[in-house]
Amino acid sequence: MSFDPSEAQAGLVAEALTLGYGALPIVDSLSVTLPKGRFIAILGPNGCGKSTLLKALSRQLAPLQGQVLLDGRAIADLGSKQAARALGLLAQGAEPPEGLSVEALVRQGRYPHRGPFSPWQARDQRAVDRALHQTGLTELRDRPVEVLSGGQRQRAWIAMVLAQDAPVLLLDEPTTWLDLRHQLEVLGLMRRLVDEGGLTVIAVLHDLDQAARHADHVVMMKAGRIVAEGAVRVALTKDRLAEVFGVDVDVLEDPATGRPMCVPRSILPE
Amino acid sequence: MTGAVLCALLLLAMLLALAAGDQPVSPVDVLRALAGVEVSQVSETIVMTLRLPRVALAAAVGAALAVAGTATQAVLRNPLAEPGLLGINAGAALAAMIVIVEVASLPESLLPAVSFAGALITALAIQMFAWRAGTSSLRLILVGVGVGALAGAGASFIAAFGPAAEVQRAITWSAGSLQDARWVKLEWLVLWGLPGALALWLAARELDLIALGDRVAGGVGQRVQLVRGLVIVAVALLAGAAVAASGPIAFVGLAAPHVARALTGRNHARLIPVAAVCGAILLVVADLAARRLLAPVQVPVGLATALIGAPFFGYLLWSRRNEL
Repeated sequence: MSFDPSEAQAGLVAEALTLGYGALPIVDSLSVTLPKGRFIAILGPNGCGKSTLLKALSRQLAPLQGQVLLDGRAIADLGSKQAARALGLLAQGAEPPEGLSVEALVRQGRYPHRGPFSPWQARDQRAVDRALHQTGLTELRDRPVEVLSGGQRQRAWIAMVLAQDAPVLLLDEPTTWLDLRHQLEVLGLMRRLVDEGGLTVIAVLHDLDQAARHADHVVMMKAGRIVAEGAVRVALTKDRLAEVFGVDVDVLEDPATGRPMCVPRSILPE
Repeated sequence: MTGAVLCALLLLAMLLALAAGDQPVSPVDVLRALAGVEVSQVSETIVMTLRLPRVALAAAVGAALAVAGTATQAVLRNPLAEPGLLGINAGAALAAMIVIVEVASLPESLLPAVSFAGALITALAIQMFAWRAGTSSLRLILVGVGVGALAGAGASFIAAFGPAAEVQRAITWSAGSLQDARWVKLEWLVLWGLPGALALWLAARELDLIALGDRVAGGVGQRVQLVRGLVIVAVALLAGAAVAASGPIAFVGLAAPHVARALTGRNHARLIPVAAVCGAILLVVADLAARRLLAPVQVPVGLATALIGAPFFGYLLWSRRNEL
């Protein structure tokens, strides 16, 4: 349940967060420490507050109580551009306006690095070129976003967030609506960003196997609380999954990778 | 390139508009009158005193509406949005109706100021009613339609019970007309509209970004609510000034941004000036048509823009039917 601080540096820390949109809190007094330089998956059933937590972590939702610390500083005290240089957010289901080219979209990721009237600089272009290269979109940079396939389009949004050059990436269900191949592409890219780029990736995921296969660390939520948290092998257990999802799941070991694999067996009585 | 061609087209349209009329003046004489070179007294009066203020006002109103429309479509993220959706036309019309019909004693010169105030107040009221921990595009549109309908009902109510002569005058005004073009109206429009237009052009980068949606824009650090609020105020200034000068004129604010996007893409730093010139051309041509189609009867230019604009817009949708 607890996280060993000697294992890695703390990146984002939520302190007694109470979150909600009206009087009724969705997340109640939640505290969690998300380690730096890891791929962290936030898991939980629909309505458990995981997307709400991600909004608060990315400064898109002001907490009713509590605060989020980034490297020891409250993110609420950061300017909006300053926060965006530290935290990149991939929002869910965004639709680009018709006729916008891939590169024009990716260039928007440079917004927090530019003054209101400062010209486009070489370092901005370098960041855009690198983001396009990392997402394999260099050849497609002049295409309008709406003619791309679903997977390419998702990669274009990711490229925009990468151009933002933030050390922490927050992703809200980055693989939903994608077919198997594109899911693997996106998750593989996240894995490389963590392993090779030293980024911290925090993603809300729906698929247990995706989390088991690609993430280092999981946070499991139910009804606005954290039920389990820690390294994948420690946190993803049969009992926890039964508690969180109400499903009897066998956790097996993938013979090829040695990582856990989740096989749902039956729905447990309420 | 596009810019040069458009500017040439605008000058050509203005030249035509200055030349054509019940008393045609040859284009050469128009140019001579404009240059101050010797020309007959009649031609000079017709060009400089009668037609030039009207043509210049048409160009300025068209440009103002087009810029306002471009910004509205960006912040509301809706290709069918136009300044009228923010209640600007309805608010201005209601204020003008109240003044023309109910306060007949008020000097007519105050009419632009009153309709301008009506436009501004309505735009602010819509933002206020749509505010719920911030505004959203959908809520602004819904509230805008509602408030617009309410203001329209108010205007109809006054029209139904007011004295016939005043009501007639108010209805003519609300159809949108450049017939009463005077230099002072142009000065007014420039004074109030130009700061709004410049502000929107300087905010081009913010408009590029906010068009991607609140969450994306917020994610890269834009203060979305602040930007949208300020853009709407600038739009209200600009479109309100245009309505004050000519009455509500439909369609330019909707169609000109589409034409401009088809010509130059989505980069607002280029889109805004191109849209301005497109809007100017559109309204100069529409006003020329309004003067000449049923001559000597003058059709209100608002009617002419709708008559020219609607088929054009239909064509636009039809030609891109596979994309939409």
